[in-house]
Amino acid sequence: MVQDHGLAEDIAQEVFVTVFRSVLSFNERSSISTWIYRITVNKCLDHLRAKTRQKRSGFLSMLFNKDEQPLHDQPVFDHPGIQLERKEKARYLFEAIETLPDNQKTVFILAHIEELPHKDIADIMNMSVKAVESLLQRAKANLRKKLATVYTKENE
Amino acid sequence: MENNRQKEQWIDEVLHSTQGMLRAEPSAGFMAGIEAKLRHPQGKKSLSFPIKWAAAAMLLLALNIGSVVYATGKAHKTATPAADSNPFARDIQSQNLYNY
Repeated sequence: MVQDHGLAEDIAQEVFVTVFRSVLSFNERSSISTWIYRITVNKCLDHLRAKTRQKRSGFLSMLFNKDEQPLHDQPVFDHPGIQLERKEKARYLFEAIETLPDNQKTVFILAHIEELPHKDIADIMNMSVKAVESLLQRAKANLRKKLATVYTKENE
Repeated sequence: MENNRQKEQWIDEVLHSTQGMLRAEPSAGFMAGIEAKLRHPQGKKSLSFPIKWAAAAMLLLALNIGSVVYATGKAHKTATPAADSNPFARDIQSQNLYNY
């Protein structure tokens, strides 16, 4: 979700710390894996929102201070677990995923990459299965649109 | 037509490029990082971003209202000294004028 190996590790460590500190408050309404996934998703979303705010304030400071260096674009994400022959196509996919709204991004990653059942995703995101399916459909449609643009640009 | 088919095929391949993906492995210092975070509790929490913006907006509003009140108060005070140059105005103000 964060597309940065170091940051993903940092968040994973924070998740373990939160689980260790809050395990007594776990109410067993869901499975423990769902609970841990929920903590992880929330921490990733918190980070993504903080990054958006940082980009906005950085843009504003750039407007008023011409000496500021422009914000660097995030480097292309290279997942270490992807087979070599698929790495290039996976890069396009991760770039396209990055353009999705947070909720579509989360649902697509949980469904498509984590391969979780829709029921589990609904529990993690505290929404209905229908809502998850609707988000997933929209995510796939947006990704196809984005990738079609990329294909056209690459083959011009 | 052929180009569209090729495009759709490429998009499908991209969408399925993560199939068979292996999970990322944690680095050597992963557990040590968790232990460090457990030993050192999180730092002081600062105010959230929306609260900071709301506080800044309230301060600006208070300053604006204050300056408007000050300016209108000043305008009211400056209006009254002019009456001293006009003796009739002074009588009107002191309400000593009788209707004969």
